[in-house]
Amino acid sequence: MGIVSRALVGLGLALVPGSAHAELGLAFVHGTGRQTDAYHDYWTPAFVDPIASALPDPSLVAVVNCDFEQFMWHDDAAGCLAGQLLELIDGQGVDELVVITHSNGANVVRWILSNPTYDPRYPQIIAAIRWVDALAPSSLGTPLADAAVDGTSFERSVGWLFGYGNDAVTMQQTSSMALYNSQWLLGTAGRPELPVGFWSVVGTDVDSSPFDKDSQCGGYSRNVGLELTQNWLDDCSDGFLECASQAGAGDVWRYDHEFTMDGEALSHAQSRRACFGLESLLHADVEEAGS
Amino acid sequence: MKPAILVLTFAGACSANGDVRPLAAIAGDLAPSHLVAPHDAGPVPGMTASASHARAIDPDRELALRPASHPDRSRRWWTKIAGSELATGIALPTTAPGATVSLRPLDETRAAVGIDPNALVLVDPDGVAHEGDAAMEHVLGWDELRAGESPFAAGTSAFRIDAELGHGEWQLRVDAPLGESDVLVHVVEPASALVLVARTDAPAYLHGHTVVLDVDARVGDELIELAHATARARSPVGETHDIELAELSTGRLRGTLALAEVDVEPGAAWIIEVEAAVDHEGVLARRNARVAFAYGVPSAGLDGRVELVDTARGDPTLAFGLEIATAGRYAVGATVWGTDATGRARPIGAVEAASWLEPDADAIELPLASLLDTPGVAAPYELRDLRLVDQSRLAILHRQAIAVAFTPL
Repeated sequence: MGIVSRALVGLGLALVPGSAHAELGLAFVHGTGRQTDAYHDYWTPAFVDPIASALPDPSLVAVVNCDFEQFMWHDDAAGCLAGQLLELIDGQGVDELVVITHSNGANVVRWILSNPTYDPRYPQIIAAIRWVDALAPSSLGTPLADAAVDGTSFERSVGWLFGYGNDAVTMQQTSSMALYNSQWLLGTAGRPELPVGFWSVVGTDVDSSPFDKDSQCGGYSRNVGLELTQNWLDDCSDGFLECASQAGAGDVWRYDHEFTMDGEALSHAQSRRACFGLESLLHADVEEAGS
Repeated sequence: MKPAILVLTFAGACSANGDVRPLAAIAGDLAPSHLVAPHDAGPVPGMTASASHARAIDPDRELALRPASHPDRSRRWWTKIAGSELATGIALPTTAPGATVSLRPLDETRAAVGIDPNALVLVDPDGVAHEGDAAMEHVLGWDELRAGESPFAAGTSAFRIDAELGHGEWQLRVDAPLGESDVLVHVVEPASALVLVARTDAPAYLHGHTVVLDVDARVGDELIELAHATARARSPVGETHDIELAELSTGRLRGTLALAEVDVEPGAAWIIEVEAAVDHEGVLARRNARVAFAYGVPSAGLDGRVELVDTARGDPTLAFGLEIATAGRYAVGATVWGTDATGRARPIGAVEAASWLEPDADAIELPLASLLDTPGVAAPYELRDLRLVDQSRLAILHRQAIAVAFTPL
């Protein structure tokens, strides 16, 4: 899929159009894991700050810290996310929100967008979200989660058998995500679209050459690991997710080589860091939302 | 699966607010044949405040009539091996070059350090032993996998067999003391033509339904005979059930599983794992597959009554008759379709409403907001993909592809 014009998609579909003079906020939603300081540990200031600077009021930022080792619907996952988004909306007077997600964070956001009555707080959040920029979303799951769970399905009580993100890894098996996409989530093929734009940025490859300084971005050791895990995936992947999964819900906004410096690929570790101009793309996007 | 229908009567209703025609659920729809009070592990979650939501959807978007089950087309297999067996060597049959192998200690102490990749020895199909990484590409120990933030469990090591060394009856040995504790050996062969396919006949079932599991092995489009196959199911609360597989025709097996669990683990899926062996090009090749399906205990059901009702807000609202076995937060949702100038049905919106309901409640209302004012479409309208959801237990209790036709006055 090529570049899609975001200005043209979704026009006329919302029952309540956005305001021209809304107070714009920005939320960063991390991926699998239990975060307590995602600003420093997951995203880094070098990534968050340049993007937030594009806001008319750069203080209107929430870097979410929740427990995304749980199933997406869990109160510590979607419930926590809803609470932190509402702190920005109600607490700081934000009435339009750009949400930037990474990896499994997109599934938790999609849970809220797809199940508007599950929690009476959700309709207000949905109404406030202008669009979602989904960086490397695990929309169709990953064969890596299959491999991580294979052989242990009948031993779930032994928690340490799983990697980090116990229930979240279970959830991101390809068979589980197919089930959840057909039962609970919107935006995949054959299902109604999500109520707001959901724009994915797709990472297509991993480069971990020790002689290439680009491999250092996002952490050289992370990229070495992701290069091996490509062996579980098809030819187009970011080392954790196949491109088809990243493109499986909503619309593709950009493949990495379409916007990165020198057409560099974004590994799964790099799609949440200031690598090859990703932060500039998102800065421009937030600037557009605020204009 | 051919579910029986709870609904007792269907009749076209010409009420004061218009003509409403409930349609019967048909094969392929999900509908309970009876109500059952689930066994909740504790107080069920569920906000008591009512909520409703209506929005327009893209009239040109292609929507599936009903969801389909997702087959697993597996090129992978796994086995649990005692550490002592790995010390003497195990068979590692491969059907294509470049298999990726991972080793995971199933002992917490061993998992803390993993298996040293330098202690691995691969013996190729010609009997030549390759020590260390001599026959491997991309060897990674646990430290490297952990650094990559992979989802693998502690202690996992992995490598790819050098694709230039071909495939066949490999052997794997670990020249290091592993003790008697088990190691999970997992192999994925992305370049293999041999695929084990497992699928259920629906993505979701209810108490009293029977799952039909189909299993076959293929090379390309050709079905091939299975030398051995077993299947086992696990419920969300951990109950296991063996599924007997019977041969339908060459290379094609079928098993069934009757579902009667009443214990609830909200949102969690059942899984079925299949283990199979196939004689393939002189190698007894192995495959495992896993499929998941949703399951609900029918704590409530639609009784077949649907009416257009007056509400204080004045928006068109459909009221659905309901029987409830136990209290919970219940939701009804659907897509709304109208008829365009050419007579074609087009999706115009999605609606959903939820409330906390006690067993004495007999209806749930679904406001349609201003969707029926959508330009370019008119009556007759339809509700498609109608869903009754037990939100407290995260179960879909009724799902019907085409459910109601209506024309407001």
